[in-house]
Amino acid sequence: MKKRDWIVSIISGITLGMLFVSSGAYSTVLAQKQTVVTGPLNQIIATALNSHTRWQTLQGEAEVTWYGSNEETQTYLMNFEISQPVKGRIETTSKETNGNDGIWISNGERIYDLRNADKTYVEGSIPAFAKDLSQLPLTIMDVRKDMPMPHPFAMFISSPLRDLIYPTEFIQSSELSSLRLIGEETILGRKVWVIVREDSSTDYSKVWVDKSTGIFLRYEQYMNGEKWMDLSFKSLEFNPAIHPSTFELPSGYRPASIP
Amino acid sequence: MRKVISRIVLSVAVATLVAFLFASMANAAGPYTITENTLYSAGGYYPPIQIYNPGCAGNYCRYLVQDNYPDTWRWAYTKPNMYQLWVYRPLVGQAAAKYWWLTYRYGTTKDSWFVTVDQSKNKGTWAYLGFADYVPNDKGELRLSEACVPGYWCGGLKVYWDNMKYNTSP
Repeated sequence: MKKRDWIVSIISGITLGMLFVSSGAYSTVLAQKQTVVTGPLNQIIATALNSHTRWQTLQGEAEVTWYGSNEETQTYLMNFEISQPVKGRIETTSKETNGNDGIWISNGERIYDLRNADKTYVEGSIPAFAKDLSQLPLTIMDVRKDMPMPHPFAMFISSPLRDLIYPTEFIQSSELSSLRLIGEETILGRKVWVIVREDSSTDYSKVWVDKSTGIFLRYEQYMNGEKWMDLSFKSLEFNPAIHPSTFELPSGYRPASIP
Repeated sequence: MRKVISRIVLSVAVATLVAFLFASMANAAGPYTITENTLYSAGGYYPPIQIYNPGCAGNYCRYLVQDNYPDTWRWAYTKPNMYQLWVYRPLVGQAAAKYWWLTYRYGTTKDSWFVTVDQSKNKGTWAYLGFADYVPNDKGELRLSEACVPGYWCGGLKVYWDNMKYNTSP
């Protein structure tokens, strides 16, 4: 090769490299894409991935029961109000009065985790990306199974309720080929798909997906072949008017020294 | 003619190699991994206990049994300009845990937020913890305590410290 060939080759290589990086092709090539699924599952997955676009405010009551060893259980009631994009309040009460009660509040600028046991709270900021939905996959083709992208506000919700309200991480984290539609039912007067996700022969989940919004109305989780969690809405109202004072920090709590 | 073809082939090969090297350098901002091998107290007395388990990244994790009296331990500080952050959910995980992410600029806290991760779900994947509002930054850190989280099972479960990874803003 002559000197001119070397110069042309190197300049062409740099130009190609810049195009490759700026177009996002580099990370696309490296990304682990999801298996393609067809049929009704495709519709269910798309509905769940887009569920946050189908409501603005949400209000209701939910209950979760955790199943420990020796038939011990822990049950929590959760009263909640959520106002998109980044406001919410969840009040959690233990049925067994085990002291693990609290209130989680996001006022749109700050997040407060209040513990009822010692009347303390920890406070954190809401980063800008919590409102940025641009990185959230809306179709199966956008899903990267090695790095599931949770709904950016759901990450900050300190309650199992987020798995019902923002189901996008559940869908992305699963091997889509492990999802099976096993039936259709009605919960709280709403039509649902019932799907099972098998992570292994002993670890699996069963979820009831609201047909019109994609929200999970119920979520059962099994670990080591035993039921681990049963989470469901007891009441649910879409797009109610929520008073702004709902998201204010209540009096009587003090900042915790160490979270 | 043969000489011309070999010049073209060689030029294309050089151009491809340069393009690959350029793309790799442009993406050299990580991700970087920080293991749980070196943890520092951030308000913790009892250090997390190391275990060997193939379900942990690199076969090792550390844990504390959850309670309501938090021992907070942090991973090593990151390089400057920490941007996106992930934490590994080991296959042995069962408890919900609250991670606390901080970045600093000129010694002052900039980002400071909490992300709850249920270690019993989506095991064997990287949980995304978001990206920094403040870049450039001097360094970042990730903290974790074994405190119970309201609404989740509380008592007797192990909260795991495993690998975290991050990238830096180029």
